[in-house]
Amino acid sequence: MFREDGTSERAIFIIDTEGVVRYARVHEIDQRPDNEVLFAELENIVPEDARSEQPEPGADPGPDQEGSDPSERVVMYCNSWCPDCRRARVWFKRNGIEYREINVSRDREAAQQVREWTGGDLVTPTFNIEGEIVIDWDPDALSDLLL
Amino acid sequence: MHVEVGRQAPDFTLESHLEENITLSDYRGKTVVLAFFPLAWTPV
Repeated sequence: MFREDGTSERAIFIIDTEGVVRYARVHEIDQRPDNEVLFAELENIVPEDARSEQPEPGADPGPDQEGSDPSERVVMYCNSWCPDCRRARVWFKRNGIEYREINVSRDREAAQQVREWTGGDLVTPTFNIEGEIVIDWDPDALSDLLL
Repeated sequence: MHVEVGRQAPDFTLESHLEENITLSDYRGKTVVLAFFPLAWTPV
C-alpha cells in the first residue's frame, strides 16, 4: 500500500467492532472513490452504523436532519475536517451570525444537493443563504449577503 | 504488515495531527474506516 518513496496509495479499509478487516481496497491514485461505494459496504457489514446520523458536537442539529428547512437563514454544507469549513465557522462566530451545519459525509441527500448546485463536485463549504447558493469559501460573497 | 479481509487487523499506534497517540485497538467495539490518500488539496 505504500510506494517506494514512502507516499501512500489511495486505499480504504473497514475494520469491524471485533477488529476484523472486512473491506480492503486500493484505488487509482487520482480517483477518489464515491462515498456511495463506502456506504454500501458499510451497510453490508454493519447496517446500524451506516444508517446512524449523529449531530456534530457544538453544531445545532436544527429541528430535523434534512437540509430543506426554509426558515433557516444560513445553512453551511461541510464536513468535520475541511480547513475552509473551519475558517467559515470562525468567520460566522466573529460576525455573530447564526448558522446550521449539515455534514455531507454523513447526509447523503445533502451531498446530492451540493452536487446538483456545483454541477457534480462535493465542494465544502457550500452555503445556502436564504436561497442564494455560495460555492466554496468566499468571505466577500458572504459579507455581501450577510453583513 | 499483513492485511487480509477476514483476518484480525494488525494493531498500530500513530501520532495524529493534534500530536496525540492514536491506537487502533482503542476503537474496539466500534466500526472503523481507514482512508489513506496522498496529498490532500492537490491535483493528485
